[in-house]
This record gives sequence, structure tokens and C-alpha cells, in this order.
Amino acid sequence: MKDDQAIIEQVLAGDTESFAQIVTRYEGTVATIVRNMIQREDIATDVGQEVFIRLFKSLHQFSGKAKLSTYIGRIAINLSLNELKKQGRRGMDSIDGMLHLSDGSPEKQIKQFEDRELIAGAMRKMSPRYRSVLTLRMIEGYSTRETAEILNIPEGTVLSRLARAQGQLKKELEQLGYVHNE
Amino acid sequence: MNEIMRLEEELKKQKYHFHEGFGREVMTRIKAEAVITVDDFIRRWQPLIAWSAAACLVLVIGAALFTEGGISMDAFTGLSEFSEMELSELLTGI
Repeated sequence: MKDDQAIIEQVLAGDTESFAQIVTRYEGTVATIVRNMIQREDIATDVGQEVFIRLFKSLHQFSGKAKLSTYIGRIAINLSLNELKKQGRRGMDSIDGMLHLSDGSPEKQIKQFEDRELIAGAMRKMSPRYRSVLTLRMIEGYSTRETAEILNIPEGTVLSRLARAQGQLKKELEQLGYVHNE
Repeated sequence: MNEIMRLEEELKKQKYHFHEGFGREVMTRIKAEAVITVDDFIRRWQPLIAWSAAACLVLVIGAALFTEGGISMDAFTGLSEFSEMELSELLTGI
């Protein structure tokens, strides 16, 4: 599998088709970020497409100092925040079939879906600043340093926001009646 | 496992994917954007392109006229003093 830099060079040399490899590789990352930030599937899909178009247009500016995943994360977060600002409200709609469920019995899947719906519901009630930290750090698995880079805040702020976000999420989940069953 | 750790485990499952065909749609838009970019370039620089073309045309004509073997400056000065016939003779003689 080609590394990101090799694909970028190919695209910059005029091979637009190679960009499809980047889309395939980072589709899940972008979907997870925008969907956790925006919630509504139709809007999140539009934002997701815009993320890749922005990336394509700005590819010549990508210096390679940061990882491409960090660069994409930053575009995804910025466009999501812009969209939220445009909406003037937090995502209000119910969660839908966009969730990626793992294999298992129907009962297990239903339980999994219910848990995720509850968590998504609790996250929806949080402010975008906490939601973004939780999404990047906890869900998408960016490091604290990468999260700080994407959000353009100090690492200490990431950690403090993360602690607050986790506390808030726990409280929201308790209010929603979330009970964890193994 | 404490509450926070359990929550962390649950959060890791909040992964999403776009619908099937998302990548294809993105690529279609990107190819369209690439065409638009060329159009945008032409539209944005149209006045400059037009002025540059006009300036080049003037320079080419000017160079053709004033280079050796072309019409000399003298042919232009005082043209009105020549009659149509004299002018015709003069130009045929060049």
C-alpha cells in the first residue's frame, strides 16, 4: 500500500484519479468526525464531501510536516464548526443508519445500537468544544498532541477539556438512564 | 473496570461511515471542480489576458512596421502633405 506522500505526489503530478485512494483511506475518519460533530446525516455527508474537496484544492499547500490524518482532521473540524455556526444550533436530529455496527447476533446489535444512540444523544447535548475533543481524542484515537494541533489549542487545554467532557458525558448518560451491561 | 474506562470503551465504538458510493460522488465533484478551476482561472484573468493580447498585438505590429525594411518613420510624418497618387507611388517604391 502506497504511503500518503506518494499518493499526494501522484495527484499533484496530475493524476487526479489517485485521490480516490485518499478518499477511501480517510472516509471513515472524516465520517466519524463530522457525524459526531454535526449528527444530521444529510448535512454531515455534504460537509464530508466538502472536506475532501478542500483537501484536494489545498493539497499543494500540504508541506508534509504534519501527518495527512492531522491535516484532514483539522479541515473536518473546521468545516463542522462552520456548519454548526451556520445552523446556529447544535445537531438536533436523531441518530440513523450511518453508525457502523460490528457483527454479532441481532440482539447484540440492537443493544449496541441502543448504547450508541444514548451516547450520541448525550454528546449532542454537549458544546462543540467538548464534543470535538471527545471525538478526536477518544473516538478517532488521535494523540493529545495531534488533537491539540487540529484544534489549535495547547495540549494542557486538550487534557482539561477532555476531563470535563468525560465528566459531563457521564452525567448526561446517567440522566438518560444509561446502564452498562456486559 | 471503572466508569470512565467503561465509557472510553463505549466511545471507541462511536465510529461512522458514509453511504456506499460516497467516494465515487466525491471524485465526480472533484473532477468537476478541476474543470471549474480552469474556467475560474480564465474568468478571473480575462481582463488581463485581453489587455496582454492587445498589447502583444500592438507590439508585433509596431515591430513589423518599424524594423528595417518596413515603413520608416518618415513615411508617417507629413503624410497629409502628399496627394493620393504621390502616396501610392511612394508606398509602391518602398
